[in-house]
Amino acid sequence: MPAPQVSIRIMENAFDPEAEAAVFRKDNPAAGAIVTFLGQAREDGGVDRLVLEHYAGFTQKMIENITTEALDRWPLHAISILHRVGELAPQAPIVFVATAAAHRRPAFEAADFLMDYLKSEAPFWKQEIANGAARWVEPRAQDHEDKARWAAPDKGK
Amino acid sequence: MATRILFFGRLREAAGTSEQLVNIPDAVLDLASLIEWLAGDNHALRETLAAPSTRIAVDQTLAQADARLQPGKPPEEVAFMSPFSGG
Repeated sequence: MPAPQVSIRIMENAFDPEAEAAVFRKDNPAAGAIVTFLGQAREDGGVDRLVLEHYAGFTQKMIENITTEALDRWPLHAISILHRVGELAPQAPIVFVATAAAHRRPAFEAADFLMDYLKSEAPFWKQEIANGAARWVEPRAQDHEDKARWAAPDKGK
Repeated sequence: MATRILFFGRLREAAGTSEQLVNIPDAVLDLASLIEWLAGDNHALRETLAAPSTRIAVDQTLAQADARLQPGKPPEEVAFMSPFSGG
């Protein structure tokens, strides 16, 4: 298997998840399994928009660490991660994760792992703007529990 | 040499700024004392910066509050970060 391809992009502008999925599939002809995940800004009573911030340079580095960990755990052909920053309207794509592997299990598990880690280990900060007032979104206990699922040393092998 | 102190997320509001340039005195030997020195009389800020949920990066590498600073060789950048909420 050639060296896995990793792409990490932090986007100031909107991206098209369907187009990204199509490119990813085309780029991985040898993969028998491709999993894509999309997180979008939900329509939520009164929330006008989200504002996402990052720490230029450091956020990229932390996501690289997460992808390195995923490549240690699963035999992947490729990983693609896109994450928006800036102002997002409801239904705007926030995060896109794609994994390619020979078979489905590693592709599923790695995508799940990547999302859990992006939630709790990637430096992004999110505010909800509703009726002109901003509120910081705090991580949920569930996010930490999701990440903790991967702590067992042989989990996912 | 001056050090850039960065505040992210809620901590930016607690600090009242996203960034400040400081000259760290030689007497400040670790991150815990850097927090004391930065917060000064601002007890609310001190508590927030020292909270277990606050993460600190020194020159873009995660560090614990007891991490030592090298006298005469201050970091270029220290970031204080409230809990991450991406995705």
